[in-house]
Amino acid sequence: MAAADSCDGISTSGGGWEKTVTLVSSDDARFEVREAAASLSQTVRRMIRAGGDGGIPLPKVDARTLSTVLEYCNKHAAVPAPAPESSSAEAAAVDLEWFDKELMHVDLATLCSLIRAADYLEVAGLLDLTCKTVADMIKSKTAEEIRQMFGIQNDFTPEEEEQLSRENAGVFE
Amino acid sequence: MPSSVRRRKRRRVGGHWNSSPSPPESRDWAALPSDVLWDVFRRLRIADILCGAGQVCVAWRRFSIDERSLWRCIDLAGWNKRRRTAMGRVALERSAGQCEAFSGHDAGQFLCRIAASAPSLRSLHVRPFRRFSIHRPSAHLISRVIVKLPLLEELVLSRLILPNPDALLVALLDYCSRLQVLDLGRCVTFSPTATEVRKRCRRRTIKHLTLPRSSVSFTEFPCSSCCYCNLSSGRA
Repeated sequence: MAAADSCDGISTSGGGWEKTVTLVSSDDARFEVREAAASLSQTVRRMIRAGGDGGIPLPKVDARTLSTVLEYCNKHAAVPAPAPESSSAEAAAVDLEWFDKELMHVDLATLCSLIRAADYLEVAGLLDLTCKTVADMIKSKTAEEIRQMFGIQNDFTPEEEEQLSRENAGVFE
Repeated sequence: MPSSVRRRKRRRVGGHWNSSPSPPESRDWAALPSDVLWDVFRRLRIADILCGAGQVCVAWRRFSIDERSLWRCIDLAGWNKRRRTAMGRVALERSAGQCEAFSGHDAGQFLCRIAASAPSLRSLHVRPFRRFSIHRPSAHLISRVIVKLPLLEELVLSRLILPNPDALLVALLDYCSRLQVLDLGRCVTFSPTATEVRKRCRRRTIKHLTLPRSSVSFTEFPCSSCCYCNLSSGRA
């Protein structure tokens, strides 16, 4: 996390000059990120185009979640455009896959925040990754197992429960 | 009930935002936005939705019923006959006529149900429950299935015995003008396809065409497994 005074600033990054933007989380933490990375979020991209002063406010994402999202964006934006099949391109793809897998080693509350943030910020790759992770967790599980795993309350009325068990009788042996 | 799931409009970002702290429901799995739920549910198998995720809570259940697009592709491979038929019935009901691709092991009465419930079907992959099943008379396959699927683009029939494939092929050429893939290569027949039918098939722009292979004698396959005899005897 790096503090920044203005949005759309020009600053050094590595050896050259790169355009950066400042994103402001719901709890007022400021993140200075390369525009190329921030633009992986379609929401941010639109806001950059719209212009504005004092950083881009993201009132639906807290600092902790935003830092994880930006970690994803920085990593994925750093990968060069797909080159012809070469060993370095393959190595980069393996590295990204490994990074994605590691990023998903989080507790369920964080995963839920992350999935909402990816949806709100419209980071397609991260939304895909998080949804796939959740789908893999749900696969082959019963409704009760899923409820327990995610802490979801069973809010069916007794009548609805009865209807569900009637439906299940037709499907289960 | 935590919240009802509604189709969310895509947000358009303007210049102003109401700054509000991150709401507590941001960690509530039951209240996930519908497009996130769609992204998760579309990766699940039919059985996982019907018996698992779709019964977790009111919001998820309502979503699984209301979101017709979840049921556009119905793949029932890998389940036993009873479950498959029951799941297929529910899935077809939920698709509300929007099913575009069906893949399963049913070849008899259920195939007629699919044709009746899915007029928009574009892809159909079918294998019978038993190792080989005789389609006789083919007239039923034509009158109850083929004529009802004018949008069919892909038809793959496997492990069926087609005593008279010519009638089937002609019907497909007549009624399914969009057919691009026709694979009967894993079916067997007792009479080779007539030359004129082959010619008609070639004239049509079917990208992938595999005709059934000619086989041995009829007596090798008992008619007890004929899925259409049941229809003929009034059990349909």
